[in-house]
Amino acid sequence: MKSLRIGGVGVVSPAGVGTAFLPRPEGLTAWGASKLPDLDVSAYGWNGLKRHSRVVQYGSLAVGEALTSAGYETPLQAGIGQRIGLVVCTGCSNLNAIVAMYKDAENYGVNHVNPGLFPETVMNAFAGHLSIYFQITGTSVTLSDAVPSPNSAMLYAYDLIASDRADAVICCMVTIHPPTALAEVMHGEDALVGAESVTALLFERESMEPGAVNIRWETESALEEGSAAPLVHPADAFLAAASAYHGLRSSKTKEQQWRTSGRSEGYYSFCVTTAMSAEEEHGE
Amino acid sequence: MITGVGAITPVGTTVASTWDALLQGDCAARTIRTFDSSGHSCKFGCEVDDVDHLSLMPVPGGRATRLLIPAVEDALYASGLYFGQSEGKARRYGICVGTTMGEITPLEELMAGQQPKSIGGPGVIAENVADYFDLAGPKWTITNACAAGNMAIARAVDELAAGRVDMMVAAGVDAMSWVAFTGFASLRAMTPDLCRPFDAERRGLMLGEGAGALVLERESDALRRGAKPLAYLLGYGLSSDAHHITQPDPKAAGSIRAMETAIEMAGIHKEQIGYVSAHGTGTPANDRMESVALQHVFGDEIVTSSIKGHIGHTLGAASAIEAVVCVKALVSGLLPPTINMRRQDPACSVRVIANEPLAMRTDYIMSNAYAFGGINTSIVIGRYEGRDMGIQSA
Repeated sequence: MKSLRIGGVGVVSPAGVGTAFLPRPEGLTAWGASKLPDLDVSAYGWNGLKRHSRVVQYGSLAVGEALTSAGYETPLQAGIGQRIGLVVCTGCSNLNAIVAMYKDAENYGVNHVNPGLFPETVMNAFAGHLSIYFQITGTSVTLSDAVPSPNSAMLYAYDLIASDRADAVICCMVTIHPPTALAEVMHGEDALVGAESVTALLFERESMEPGAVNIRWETESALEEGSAAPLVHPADAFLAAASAYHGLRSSKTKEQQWRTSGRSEGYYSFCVTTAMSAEEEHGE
Repeated sequence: MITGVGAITPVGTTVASTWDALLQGDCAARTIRTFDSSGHSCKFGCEVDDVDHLSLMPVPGGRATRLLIPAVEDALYASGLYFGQSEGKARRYGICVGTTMGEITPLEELMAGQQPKSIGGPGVIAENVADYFDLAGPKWTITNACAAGNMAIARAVDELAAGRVDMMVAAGVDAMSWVAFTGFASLRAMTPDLCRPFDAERRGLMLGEGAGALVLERESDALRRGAKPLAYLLGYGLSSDAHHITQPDPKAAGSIRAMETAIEMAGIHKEQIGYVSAHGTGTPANDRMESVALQHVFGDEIVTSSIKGHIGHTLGAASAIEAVVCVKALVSGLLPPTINMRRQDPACSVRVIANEPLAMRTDYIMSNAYAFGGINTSIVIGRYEGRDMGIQSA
């Protein structure tokens, strides 16, 4: 079993910005294929992003909220930025730019395509913009597994922290629907995601400090029969973590569990808990 | 340690033929055939011929998968772990694929009004290859653009060091793509004639395609099963510039940090690095930045070269192919040249091996790769006879 502290959270979801209106993990499927709302990220204090794509704007908002809720000042100071890692999970965030490039070529000719489009067709442009905006200069990795893998992102974060390559790692899960023009050719599980969301979790080394919210996860070979832990779509696992984080921080719950399918690896079981003081632990 | 290597490049469809072509100074530049480039002002690239017939058996997937499978097949075969012989160990065998554009051909077919012949997207490549070779352990798809090959190698090292696997295939692949070709042209980053890394009159990169694959194992496991070790993968360094989405930081701070981290992880002194396989794209900004970084870390006398004049910039495949080439260089004592060099750029004050291979035995080689998004990566590979330390389980 592996464990990390969730130091900060930032979410843009069909429910808007933040965690307050997130359903509990078992309620996430009720969102169906809801889209992200139209937002002006500057209204939330994240300025200078207007020239970026919508997904980069929302990613910046989510990561910014995660950093600030963890107590970081942004942009990060050089010494701090080097010790922050960035792990992005995305499989579709480049597709609108690809479609736009074709349209540009059709309209203006292949030699007159807007040069601003091509960088956005590269999957790690999203992470690149985030690293520039927040001055994150540690390890930056973009994962584009066929099935969104929260476990992979968290494992990468865990390894970076365990090997002392980072003090904190921001994992950002980008779940957006592919453009209609390309949906049919994308890997089935890539294309058939549920609701859109951009969720950033800031992970730190597991902490026993009272009030610290920790997430533990492990692989299970099969689903435990009769388990009360809901099964959540892998793409929603970070949303589930954000929801659990909110529940614990607002004292609505003491522990939240859920599972996701790990396909051939079985299932991943996640549990978010709050570290308790000695008095709380003994029921005093 | 590295126990197997495989490569499919525009100058050779095996490691041996690629290596020979690099030493001979072959250049794969020609008019693009994969798609209609008649309307493009730049028409040249480096392509792999007859991709459909690289494997003996039918291969699933699009062009990227079809490039990668024979490279992985060669690497596994060289390691003595030929597929189908996992003997119940499949769950301890994993794969990490680095790619820039992913399986882009089906998307381009669809956008061009054709019926796509396979599923597209980045993650499908690792799925196809893992299924084909029965690699049931961890599957990673890393899309850090032109540094994705080195990133895949680094992740494979992590998986082995953590003891989560017994063998990892670390690979990089990219197929010739209309999007990448048109895109680099839109950035005015493509050379109108030949790619000339570090040359005073270099005018940009040339797009290529290909695949590189390495089989990585812990030394103890490899020796126990009687594998023939090729080289050690000793260290890596990763950093971000946070400077510009496409342009490198001219001060090269992130690149320097990546190199120094890789050397530190390798547990050697910088003076022990005898050769650096440069990212060397042939763009003015990249080669200048890389020279600044090399000079800062090693001084003027470091020996370097880039094979992108031969095979073009193969994007996510580039650093995986270059790692394979570094293994050949360590084993053979020959260093591949930078071709198409006429006069070295005085602003690139490092020792570039120009046009002819250099006979120079070294125990340690560094390989660099950089990418959009400000990604800097360096790996250190060591000669097998030169050291008796490899990756050990944590």
